[in-house]
Amino acid sequence: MRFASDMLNHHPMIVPETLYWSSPLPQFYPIGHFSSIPPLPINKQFKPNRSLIDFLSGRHLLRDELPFPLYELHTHYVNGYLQIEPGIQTINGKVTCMRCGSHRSLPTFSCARCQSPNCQYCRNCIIMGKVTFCSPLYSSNYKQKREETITLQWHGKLSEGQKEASNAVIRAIQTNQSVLIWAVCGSGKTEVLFHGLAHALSEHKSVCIATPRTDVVLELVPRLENVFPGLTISPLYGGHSVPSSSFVISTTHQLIRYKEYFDVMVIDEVDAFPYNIDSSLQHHVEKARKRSSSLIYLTATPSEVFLKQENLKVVRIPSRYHGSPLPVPTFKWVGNWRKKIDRGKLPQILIDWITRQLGAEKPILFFLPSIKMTEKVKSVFDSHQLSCEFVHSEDEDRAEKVLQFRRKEIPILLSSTILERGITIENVAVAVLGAEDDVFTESALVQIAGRAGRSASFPEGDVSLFHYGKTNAMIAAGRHIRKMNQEAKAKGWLK
Amino acid sequence: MAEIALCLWCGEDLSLQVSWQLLFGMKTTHPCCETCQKQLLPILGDVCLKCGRSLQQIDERFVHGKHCNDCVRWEERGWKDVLIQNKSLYVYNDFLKKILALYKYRGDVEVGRVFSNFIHKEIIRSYSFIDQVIPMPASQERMYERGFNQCEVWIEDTKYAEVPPLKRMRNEDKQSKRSRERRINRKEEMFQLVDEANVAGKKLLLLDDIYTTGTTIHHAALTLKQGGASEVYSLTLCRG
Repeated sequence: MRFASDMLNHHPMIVPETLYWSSPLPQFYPIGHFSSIPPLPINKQFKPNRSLIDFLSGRHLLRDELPFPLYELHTHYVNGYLQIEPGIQTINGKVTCMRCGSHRSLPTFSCARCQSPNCQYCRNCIIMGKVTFCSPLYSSNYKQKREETITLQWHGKLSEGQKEASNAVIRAIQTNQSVLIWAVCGSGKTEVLFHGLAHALSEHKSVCIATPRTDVVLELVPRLENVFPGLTISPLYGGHSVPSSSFVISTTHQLIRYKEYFDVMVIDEVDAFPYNIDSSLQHHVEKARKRSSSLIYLTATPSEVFLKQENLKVVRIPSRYHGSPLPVPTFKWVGNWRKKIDRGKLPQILIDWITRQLGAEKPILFFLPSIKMTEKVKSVFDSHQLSCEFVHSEDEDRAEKVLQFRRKEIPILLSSTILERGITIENVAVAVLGAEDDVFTESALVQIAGRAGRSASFPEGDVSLFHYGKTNAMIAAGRHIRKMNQEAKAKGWLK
Repeated sequence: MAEIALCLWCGEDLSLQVSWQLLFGMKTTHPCCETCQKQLLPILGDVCLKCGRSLQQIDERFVHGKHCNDCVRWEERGWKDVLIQNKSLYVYNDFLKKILALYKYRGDVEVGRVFSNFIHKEIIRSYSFIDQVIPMPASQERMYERGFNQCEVWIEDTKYAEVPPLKRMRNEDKQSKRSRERRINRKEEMFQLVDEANVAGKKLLLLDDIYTTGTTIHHAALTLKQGGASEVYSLTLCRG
């Protein structure tokens, strides 16, 4: 879009080309031409459109994402209720996308919207709509008061470890600080948030829980609705991107449509991203939350880089909520198993292990290094009369197969690393074939081992890593788990 | 930090690819990974002499000598001398459909620029006698919506980039949403010449992304012929 500069009561302002009536017409420029567009003072006489303010409050949106006519957006800008900025600006000498913060890939193109032969667009976040040098980004920090008071309706009991973490979360929210909750798989990290969130809600704070995966968004919404009756939660994910409240559970992608809004930001599974100075996640988080706000990271496997951050408070929950130790993986050498699979054979030691688990009526979750390998191994299992199914990231029936596995209709589920997080199956036995493969990093193996023994009725679980040569990652994963168990024992938190 | 080269289509890291060219120290300049390149299928073998579609892929009953049934029907309806010949480079498979969607609808211009090189080469190789290349124009509304013309991009920065003599009339429903019957038997005028157009006696090449029923291309060619063009050819990225 193109705009012309103008003045309003001695304040500089910009006016979109299509709203210009005066003659002669002034010179119009793509919005990126205006290096600074200061917000205009609020006009108290003006009655803003409530639904527009609700829609835009705290958001950072493109013109095409706003279902309001251009003149209405302009009047709200003129009267100080919304702000406009160019989608692409030069920051510290670098051409930067103001929505996602990327300065990596901003190619030029001949643009029909601003008639410039050298307009630019951001490739990094184009999946969320195209940001160009001539696209205005709209935002509004005008917040309407929320009336309802929400209280926590949960009478469960926190474990000792959870209690300590829960207090740290409350403190972080009260004082707008950051904390990392390093909670072992199955420690019950969601419950750790409950009291902190209740506190935030009592003060009408805006809350975002961000997670890398849509499955987690969909799983968390009903859990929180249950314990906070009456609370309107806005789930945000691809294809569902318009919030209806200031309590948001979002995929991390969707964060780019917020600006300086959240008082409380929770980042789940923060290790699932490369997190460093340059990463876009960090930009998304910093842009979406208020300058003064709390930041709570949750993970079972923080990266070393992440832990090296200065001034990061870390609270560990080394024990599971049921008080039994984490199952420690055992290593089982199987030689050149790939060659055997190619010949349609299975290592004897593996067959013995499977037979034992099936005899004990345990469902078997079986991890393999690649999608191709899950398919190969399925056909070998089939020829051995071992009934199984496989799932991977590109599998459309994934949810259905996992459900069947849960209902014990499928005794063995073969998986690529896709199921390493978040899946809970009672009494499951866990195996990795090819644990020496590079895809099985320390954190992947810790997560995989974390699938076993989660339920209080079956707190012990078998985790077997079948390998063709021990790797550092395998040894580190074993050490990681044993260390957590020792720490829990030393604190007296194990039964 | 060194710039990481990623496949423009799927985002895969290109430095991970070990190819023979690399081993022999020859630099590969293709902006896409091999997996993507393999899914792009050139139209080869016997093709309809008129519209360039592969004759092997259609039922024998719809082949008349060296022509396909559709082209015979165009001629029967009186369009014989409007378009001389269409040529299409690739089979319109699911992969290309996906790539074109990223390009046209999502607006990722770089995704479509990958084709510029192939199209430019084809123009030089097969159409050296042409006076002007005309990227298929879009209506004003469509131009604003998409933000760019996907066919103009393919000849930008070449000597073929000229002001097009043709303009597209008001936005009709999208072609792809019409029934075949409605697409072919349309009454209203799709194109007009711009005021300053000078096509008289010229040999022209229309450039478009896809030839499906041929309606768009035939109508554009008709307007050009009526303006006095001597010959009209067309080149499309793919044949639907």
